[in-house]
Amino acid sequence: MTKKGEFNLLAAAVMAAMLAVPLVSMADLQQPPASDHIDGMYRLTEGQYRNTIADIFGPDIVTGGRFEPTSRRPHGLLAPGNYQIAVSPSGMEQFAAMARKIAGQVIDENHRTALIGCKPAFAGRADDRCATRFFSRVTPLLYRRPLSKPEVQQLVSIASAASATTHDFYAGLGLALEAALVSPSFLFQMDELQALPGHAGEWALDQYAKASRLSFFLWNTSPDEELLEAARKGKLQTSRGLEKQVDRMMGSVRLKVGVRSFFFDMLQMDKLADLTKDSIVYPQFISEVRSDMSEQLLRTLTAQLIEEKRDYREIFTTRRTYMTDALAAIYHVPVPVQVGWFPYEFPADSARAGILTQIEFLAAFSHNGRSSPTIRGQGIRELLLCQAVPDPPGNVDFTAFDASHAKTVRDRLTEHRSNPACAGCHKIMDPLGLTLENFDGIGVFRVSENGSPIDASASIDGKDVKDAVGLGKAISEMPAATSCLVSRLVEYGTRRPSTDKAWLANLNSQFAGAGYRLSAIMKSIAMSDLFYARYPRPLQKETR
Amino acid sequence: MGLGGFRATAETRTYVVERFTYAMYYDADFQKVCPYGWLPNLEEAFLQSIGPDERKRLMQPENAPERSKRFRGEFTEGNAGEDLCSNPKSFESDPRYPLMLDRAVQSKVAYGLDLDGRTDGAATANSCQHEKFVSPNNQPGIDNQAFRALGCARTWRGGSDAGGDQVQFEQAHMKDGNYNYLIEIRGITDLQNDEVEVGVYSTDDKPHMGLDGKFVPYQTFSTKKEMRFVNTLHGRIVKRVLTTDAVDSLRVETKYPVSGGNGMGTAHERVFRGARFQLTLNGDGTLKGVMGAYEKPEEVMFVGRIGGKALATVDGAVCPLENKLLEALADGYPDPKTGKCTHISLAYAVEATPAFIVHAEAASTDKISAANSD
Repeated sequence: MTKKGEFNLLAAAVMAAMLAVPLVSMADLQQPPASDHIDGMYRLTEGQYRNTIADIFGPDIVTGGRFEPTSRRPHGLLAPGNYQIAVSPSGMEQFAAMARKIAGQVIDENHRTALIGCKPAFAGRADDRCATRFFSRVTPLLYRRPLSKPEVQQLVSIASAASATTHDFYAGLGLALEAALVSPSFLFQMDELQALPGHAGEWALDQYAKASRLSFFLWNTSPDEELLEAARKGKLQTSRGLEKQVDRMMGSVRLKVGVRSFFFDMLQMDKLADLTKDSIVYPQFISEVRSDMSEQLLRTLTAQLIEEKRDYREIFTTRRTYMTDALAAIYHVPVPVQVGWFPYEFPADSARAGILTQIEFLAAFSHNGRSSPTIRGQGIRELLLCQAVPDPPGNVDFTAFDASHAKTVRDRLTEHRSNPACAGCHKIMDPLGLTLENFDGIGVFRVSENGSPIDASASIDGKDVKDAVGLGKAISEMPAATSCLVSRLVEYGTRRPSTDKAWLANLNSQFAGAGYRLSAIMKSIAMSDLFYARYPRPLQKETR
Repeated sequence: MGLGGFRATAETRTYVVERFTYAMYYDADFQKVCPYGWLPNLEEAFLQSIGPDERKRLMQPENAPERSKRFRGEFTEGNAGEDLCSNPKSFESDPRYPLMLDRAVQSKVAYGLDLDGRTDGAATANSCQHEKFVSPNNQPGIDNQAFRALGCARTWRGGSDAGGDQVQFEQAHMKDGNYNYLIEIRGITDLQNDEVEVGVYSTDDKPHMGLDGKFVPYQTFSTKKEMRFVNTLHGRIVKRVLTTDAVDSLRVETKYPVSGGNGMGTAHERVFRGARFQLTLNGDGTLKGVMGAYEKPEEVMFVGRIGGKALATVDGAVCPLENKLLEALADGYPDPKTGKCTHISLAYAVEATPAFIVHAEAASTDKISAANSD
């Protein structure tokens, strides 16, 4: 329970932190002054917030809380959507609650020795020396940049005042940490600009914004101490220095976290939270399946692309994946023992190959009680080939479709396409999805529907395909599959779709030259000057 | 370790048993089944055990608390404090719990199989003289004396074929995954007419339950490593109906991991003597039918034993009355010295769903302990 005095103190601390920037005197900065230009502010995503806290304070620190949804997909990814959202009052309450919870754990007896790094002279009093040491070390990691002396002093002052009120050094330190955790400097990634040397009037991200962009792109977390140090020394401004950091980060286990985050966004896996299935039609779609199917897809992707460094196109044809006992029941395959995840390879004659035959995709892109070649086809076109599918006209009459007596979805869609207004788009979507008709609305294999044998053949962009395995092969051979990945990676990293065709063409060429290895194209992007270029319309900072 | 699969061209079909409960044939005409009424529940049995004046006094509304206290208290304990459900045999000579043969099932229909090969009920080398049932589909010679003994007890009869609380107790624990059984039918080449081998195993693996309350099909289960839980039967399939020969002893393991009681929290080995199966291999991949077998009366009462006094005070079961009927109606495995039958015939409803079976390697040191063998 919050005491009145504590509440007022926290409120004061939060307000002070929110207003911290105008209080800073340029003369007090430890570092060269930030630029007068800011290219954009992005609210940390839930993953970025949680990863950052875990990296700074340890994975056992529970963040709790609920994050406001990022539901805007301006172009296809959620990442740019964070540029267009605000923090609502209730969202701010959640951030404050999380800050309190995190700070409470950092100062508790189980963690304080390891995380604070110093002991006060007297536990019942303020200790500015220890507080200064703590905030000088931790806050740059939270704010992703060095702090000026007044900024540090401000947090120390909050801690000191709170310690005096509570007669508890740790409680005071915790309140000041709460203030730091609700500061915009932590909650928002700010793309601050600096003038490009030798290019009058040209701007690029400053070294710390550059470090953040790189870190969130590769790791989906805030820069670590080494990256910030490289930024401080200006090493990210040289190709050699930048490459050293990129190579180090790409060799880290955190790369897998970053890649999972990217594909989570690209494949719109956030929508699975709202996925429902008819429990009468699909009683086997239990909670374990729901959670495991996402993990299966991400494990497959990271194993193929990061651990084994395979050709990106193989994700559409690979028979290798990971399995749990709950998933195995849906796939109708045996498991050695009931012990969590294990690698699994579908036999060569299996109807399954590639991520499109995994139940995550099959279930996510279906109706709640039946499969949908149209939705599956649309998903493939938009998510994996970056091809826009127009919205259906507003006056579509679905009653004829629903009232159809055709036994298979193929037959119903054939009737539906007899309407010229519908045929145009359905010709784009349906053939791809029809090849997946051997899998029902949750991905269980089937050979018939309502007693009629399923015909999974189709002609896809002029190529005859027999079934789902053929679909995977066809997709893997489409140039759009690889170019889509490249453009999505650029959009994810910069949070804006690139319109620079020359740059994208160059990246696609590099991707092909590297055998379509994901790590190679991520490095190419991370090493590109254009990856750190400013947005065409920089905004003047109003507060300075 | 090997994998048993369910394949389109299957030579072996494998299942996890999702229903294995006493087969209680439910005839809605209670008067036909139990013309003399229910086997008394705890309160009724208590009131019958006391004199008419005392009964009249206790039935007065103002004496309800005393009545409740006495039938839930003194009536549930023996002279040495024994629990009437944990130790029903210790109440054998207690006059408060008489043998009530008139409260046994009087109707003619029951689930089960002909276990002794006679339709007239005459004694054989392995059975005592007893009355036979006919099955719901008019098969004669059905042996199910356990149903005869318990079919008029409320906690067994229930309100449907699902049986009463004691029957459903077992089912609930199977659904919780506390114990499960596996069936493997090997050597199938013709579902219309074939000789096959049938394996029955126990597993410690827990099933995933579907949103419809049934086991999710095609899960994988591993067999227990102890060889004594590997049961092999010979069978014949005729028109998709598998009928096995009897196996002398079919051993399975049950577990009721509930704290307290007698036998709860520990594994319990059940031994069915002369066990046979009659199972239909359904087109949807499921298996459904019955197991007929003999079991010792105290084993039939196993759920009561672990439930202890609570079964009596909460559900009203009077275990000594049930046990006396089971012993009196026992019809199998006569004692060579006394000629009295030591086991009672019964039937279990069996429903199984497709599953994969992983055979554990048998522990070479595994032996059946003397305490567990018959």
